[in-house]
Amino acid sequence: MGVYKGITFAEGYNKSFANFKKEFASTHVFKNIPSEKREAELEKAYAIAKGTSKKQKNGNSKESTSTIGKD
Amino acid sequence: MNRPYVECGSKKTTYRNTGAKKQCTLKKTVRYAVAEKGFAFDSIEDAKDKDKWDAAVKDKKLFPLYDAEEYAIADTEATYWEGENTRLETTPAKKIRTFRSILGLCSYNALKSFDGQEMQAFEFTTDPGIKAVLTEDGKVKGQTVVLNIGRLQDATSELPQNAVVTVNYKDFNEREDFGADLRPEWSYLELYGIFDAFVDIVSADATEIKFTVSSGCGSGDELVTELTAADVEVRDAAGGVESVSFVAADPTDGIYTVTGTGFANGFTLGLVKVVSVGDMSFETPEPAKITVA
Repeated sequence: MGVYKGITFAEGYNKSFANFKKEFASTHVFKNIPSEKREAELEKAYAIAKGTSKKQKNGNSKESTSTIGKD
Repeated sequence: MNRPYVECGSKKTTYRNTGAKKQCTLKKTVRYAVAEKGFAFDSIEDAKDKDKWDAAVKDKKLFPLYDAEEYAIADTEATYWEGENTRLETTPAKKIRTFRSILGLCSYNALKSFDGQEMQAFEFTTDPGIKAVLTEDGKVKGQTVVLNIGRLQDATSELPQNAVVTVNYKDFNEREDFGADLRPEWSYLELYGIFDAFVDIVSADATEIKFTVSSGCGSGDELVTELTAADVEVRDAAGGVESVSFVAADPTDGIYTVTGTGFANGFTLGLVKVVSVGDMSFETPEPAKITVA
């Protein structure tokens, strides 16, 4: 499970970068980053989100069919 | 040849040594913590370890009660039948303590849930100290008691809203014969019971839920802002746990965000059992129901 600053990404996150931005760019984590650096940070965070392949071990772990990751 | 068999119950012991240069006593009890029957700390060291107490509270084995004001002794003496030549005990003496707690309605409601229950009581003193009991195998437990919670007394011009608690000890010998007076490095003031936590949904749609978590009575007014992804779960209408992304609380307004797909009416959002933030524990009495805009 990837973690970027205050964001913990869902297991197996596989949305497009455009949708990733739509999902997280408006959160306080990115709004507090200066605009000239924000895009680079979004790309860094996206890589972390996509790079997660380990099974989640916590209460957010999937126990039922989920639609997460479907665009 | 058969004959009647009767055990007399005599507890006559040998005389103990009485040497003493200093009397080590604990001060007045100012708070109780009650444990469920069978609970004991594994050792004296564990019974003085604040982390072990916090863990027992989180496991719902141990319940700190509220400040004990006006702590008083209300023992009843034994009664006897007096014959011409003999005196026999007909009713044993009882060890009873009473105290008054100043309580809001929610705390009274929580306290009332212990009424009539047989529990094991640890007593905190101002030293700071803990009155407990040693078991034969070196464990540390509380004295066996039954709590009686009095009616909620409305505030008057002399006294805030309160209730009187009567602590009925099962056997005064427990402390007199096997007592353990501990002097931990920490104070009872640092020990908290589990706080109810209430999830308030700020907004919800199919892909995003914004919410706050507050503690305290009713809807509460103190925001809990240090929860992590592992502390929160979203469940679908059938009770299955959804995989979501979690955004920590915005420091400006305390609003958390979870994102995912397919959020729908009937989903719920709550804490994962009892969660710890520092030395405090939180639990949602019931998760918040999601209504998607």
